[in-house]
Amino acid sequence: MTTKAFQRIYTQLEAITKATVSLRAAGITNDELATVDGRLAQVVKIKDNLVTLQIFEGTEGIPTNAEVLFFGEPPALNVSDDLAGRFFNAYGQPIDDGPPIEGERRYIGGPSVNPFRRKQPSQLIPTGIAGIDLNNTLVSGQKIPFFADPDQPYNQVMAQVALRADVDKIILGGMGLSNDDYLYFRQVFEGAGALNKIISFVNTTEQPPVERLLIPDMALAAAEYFAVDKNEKVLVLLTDMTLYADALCIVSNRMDQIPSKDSMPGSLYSDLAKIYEKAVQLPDGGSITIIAVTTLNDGDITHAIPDNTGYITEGQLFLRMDTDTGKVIVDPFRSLSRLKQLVIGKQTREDHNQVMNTAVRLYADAANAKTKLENGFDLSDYDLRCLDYAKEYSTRLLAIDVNIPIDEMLDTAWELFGKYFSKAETGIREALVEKYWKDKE
Amino acid sequence: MKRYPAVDPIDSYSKYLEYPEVIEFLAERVDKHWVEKVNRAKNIIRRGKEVADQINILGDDGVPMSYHELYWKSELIDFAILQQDAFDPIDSLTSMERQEYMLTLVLDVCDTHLEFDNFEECGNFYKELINILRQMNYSEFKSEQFNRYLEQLNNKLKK
Repeated sequence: MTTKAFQRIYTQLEAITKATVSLRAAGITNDELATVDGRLAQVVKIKDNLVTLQIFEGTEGIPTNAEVLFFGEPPALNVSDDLAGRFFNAYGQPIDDGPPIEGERRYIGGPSVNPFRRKQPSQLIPTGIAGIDLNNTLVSGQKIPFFADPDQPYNQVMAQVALRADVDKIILGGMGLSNDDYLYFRQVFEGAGALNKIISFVNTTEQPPVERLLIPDMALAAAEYFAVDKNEKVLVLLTDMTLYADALCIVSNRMDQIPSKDSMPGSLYSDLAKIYEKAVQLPDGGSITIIAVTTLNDGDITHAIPDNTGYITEGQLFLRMDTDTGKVIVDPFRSLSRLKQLVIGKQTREDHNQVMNTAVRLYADAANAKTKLENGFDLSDYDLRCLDYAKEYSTRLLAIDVNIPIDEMLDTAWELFGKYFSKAETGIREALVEKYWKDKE
Repeated sequence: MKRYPAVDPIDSYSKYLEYPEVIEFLAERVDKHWVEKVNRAKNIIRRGKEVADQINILGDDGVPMSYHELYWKSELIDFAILQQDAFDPIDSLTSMERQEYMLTLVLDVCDTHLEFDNFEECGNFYKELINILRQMNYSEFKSEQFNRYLEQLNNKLKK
């Protein structure tokens, strides 16, 4: 932000802590942005005319006579159709050398849509990935994270999901993205010729970590404009929410707040819920679907971040490296879409549910057979068939590089059932078996 | 290994099944020996879990045939009684009368004495029983189709 004419400059700080400075100023609003000695800050407390500002980068080196400039408003975003195809930083300023956005100025971080004005989500979002479409079907208006180890290709999977999904707008909220990942997203979106429906808010690793706290609210403010005002289907991608929570942690520690579990702020649940609860299906057809990434530390889902996330979101998609096939798969045992029953068998083929459950059960039998093998026991004929089935199921259906329509996923599963098992072993309802069973070729 | 139903039949319990008033009420309303049957089924599942652990430690060949039978009887109850298909219009909604009928039927199957030459034969036999019972669960109660599966089940047990 550039300084404006006749703008008041304050130069007398009353107090400085690790993260905040206080000064006397009049006519200041809460949550207002300001610069202190050139660093970005936000009003967090006002008592009489004593204003406390939180400085995102910290207060190291701030002199008592630092220049303080108030912006006159809380963080806001200009919304209009011109947002499409553009890249912005955490403050909603263009970073793609394009012109600033003209449009209505809206404060970010407002309340989410009133439950009374919502509709039950009911539209399937196909992704082509069987680990998702077949076993954990996504529904528009849903909020769901990927749980992944940091070395897994979650950004690639998310970019694929975004490009294949039948939505009007895709909004990327990148937090702590490496420049390589930022360029990856940019190139994939440009290469797919889909840039005109994509809006990106990006905070990269070299920018102050606390700035990324603004990213989800910026992304969701844009999402609400398109979903609520324009009745569009919007998909919001948030990566990586663990880095977002780490930024929350930095702020609360600097503010001398008493830390909660895993040194996270006690407000972690509310902070995350405020973001995820913006997911909505509106009666007029608009929707906001949130797909996030929560990276795990050593696969630990009991850590405060994935744990709290799990209570808010409608399931999780768990990525795992399957060493038997060398593929990254969507783990069918640990993944869950809590809204899948709203579309399975309703918008998909009648055999979907039974095929899904049977395939996973047989995969579980294979896991038991594997344990037996590892313990040095002889395997039965059934065990051996299970193991062969598991390899093919993993490669042809669970792997994230699969891209086929749902009917083909179901046909593939029937083909595998016929190849490795008897009809009785599948235990599927006879009417469906008669209709879809494929004998071994 | 996780499997449906999500309500664990061993870890979950109801104190009400111990109260004389409730036992009396259930005897009158459901079946004279209902609570006894529920407890028997529960015990079969518990035994099944114990022998499954043994089989995992000692291997399929390292335990007597009776262990395999115990294990598969518990699987029978798991698949035919505890597992319920929430997506299926019939299986997702079972009347008390139907539950009583099916539990009695499954316990009768568990009481049937059977001879097997080896554990694979035992497993395959019970898998077929499980499949027939599941097909019954997918059929309208006491319909023609339901009775046809029941006949299949009885024929299978006679052999």
